[in-house]
Amino acid sequence: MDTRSTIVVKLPECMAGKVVRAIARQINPGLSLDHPCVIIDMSNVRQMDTTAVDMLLHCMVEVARHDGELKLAGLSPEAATVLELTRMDRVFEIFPTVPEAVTSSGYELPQFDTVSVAEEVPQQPAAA
Amino acid sequence: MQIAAIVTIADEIANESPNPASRPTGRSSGTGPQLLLGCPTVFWDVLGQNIVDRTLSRLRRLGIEQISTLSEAGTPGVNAAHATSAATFWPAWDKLVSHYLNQGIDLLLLARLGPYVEFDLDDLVRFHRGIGSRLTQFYDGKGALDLVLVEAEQLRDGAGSFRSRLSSLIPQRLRYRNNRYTNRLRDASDFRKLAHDALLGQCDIQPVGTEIRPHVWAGPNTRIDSSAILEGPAFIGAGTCVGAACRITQASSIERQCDIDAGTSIDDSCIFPGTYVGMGLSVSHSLVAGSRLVHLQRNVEVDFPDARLIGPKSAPRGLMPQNLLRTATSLLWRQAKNAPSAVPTRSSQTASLVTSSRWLGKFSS
Repeated sequence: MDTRSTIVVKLPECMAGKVVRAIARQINPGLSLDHPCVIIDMSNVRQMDTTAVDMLLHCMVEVARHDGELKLAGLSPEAATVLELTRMDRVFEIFPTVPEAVTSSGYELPQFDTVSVAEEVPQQPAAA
Repeated sequence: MQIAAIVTIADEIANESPNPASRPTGRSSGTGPQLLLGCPTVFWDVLGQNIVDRTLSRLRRLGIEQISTLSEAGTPGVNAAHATSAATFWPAWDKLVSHYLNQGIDLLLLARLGPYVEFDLDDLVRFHRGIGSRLTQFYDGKGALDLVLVEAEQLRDGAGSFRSRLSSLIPQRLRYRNNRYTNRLRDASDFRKLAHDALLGQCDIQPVGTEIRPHVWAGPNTRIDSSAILEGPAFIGAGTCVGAACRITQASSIERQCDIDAGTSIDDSCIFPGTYVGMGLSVSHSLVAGSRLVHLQRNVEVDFPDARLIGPKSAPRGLMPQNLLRTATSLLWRQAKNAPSAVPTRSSQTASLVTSSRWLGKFSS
């Protein structure tokens, strides 16, 4: 029986700084599933810094540890430019659209869950 | 024969009207400010010198000694003596014309930058005088250019402002078909084409520097690491550093006071003055100025707040994130059996990239 789980994660417009850390916390549980197939929908991303790229690399490593796969889909021009600049476009599997990424995993639409990660950063209590 | 020139720094991309006297009338008449990465296009360096300075130098070489520059709407960077606002431009222009007419000039050349235009002045004057033209406007294969030659005596006569007298001459203008190099500089792609064409010798723009190897020019005080690969044609501006294991290819230009860090590739791109490009990066088909990058194929401008990637050369920065650099290094080592592990010091990061690049070269040759 195929026990893989497919998750599509739609990233917000701004992928920088604290937002990235908050998103990573939301995504992490999904990375630990059995044989996870994680598809990152980057069609909304307009701003991306090295923290975001670092997070994607971290996700890729975590997914690999659980014998899963991570794919990027629907890259916005901004996201594609950042990944090309950092040479990360050669590291990830990239698909033009989410459906193509999903079907490449051997799944049929709509047999996957879409998670839209929140852009707001949770308020941290002031340090004492 | 005395010829004077008034060079106007455009505030807007020219509209389709061929009437130079109809501009500027405010932003609503144009298609938007002619800015490139936040600065007027004509002020960006092309192979060591900006368009404005190149135009003025060329006019002097053509024998035009009386030259004035005016900015249409307070464009930054213009000599304060010639800077104007939108409301004061035409009075200032009128004053300049009056000054030159009083000097007894015969012909007045009016150029609006804007477009980069090369021309043969002798041929233009022969054409203009040969057919008895009062006002001659430049044209190329794509249409009218913002460059006209007008008979001074036509401006001396008549009533009203010199602008209105010029406007009255427009319907009688004759077209001079310019067969020399032109570039309208309407967008980032046009600018990149200008730099590319200049490096390939397709226009009169000469690099400001010496040819250090075939088709590779460098300005004074450049520092190019011996392990860097420069495939001509290429231009490295004055005071620029090109780090270890860098690759500069596909007619790229790196202007003055830049810092290209180790292991970075620059392909088919222009790096504008004072820019830092971080370690192990790949810049292709782009224009980069400070923290902003325009990707020409994707037609997108991206701002990079992280100065470790790209940014002003003066900005403080730390080491590249280890994950990123480790992955970039492993990409360079993909054919090697044992990839080195990156250790968190700058010199070891640099050494890692340089060694990776050399191993890749061995396997590729």
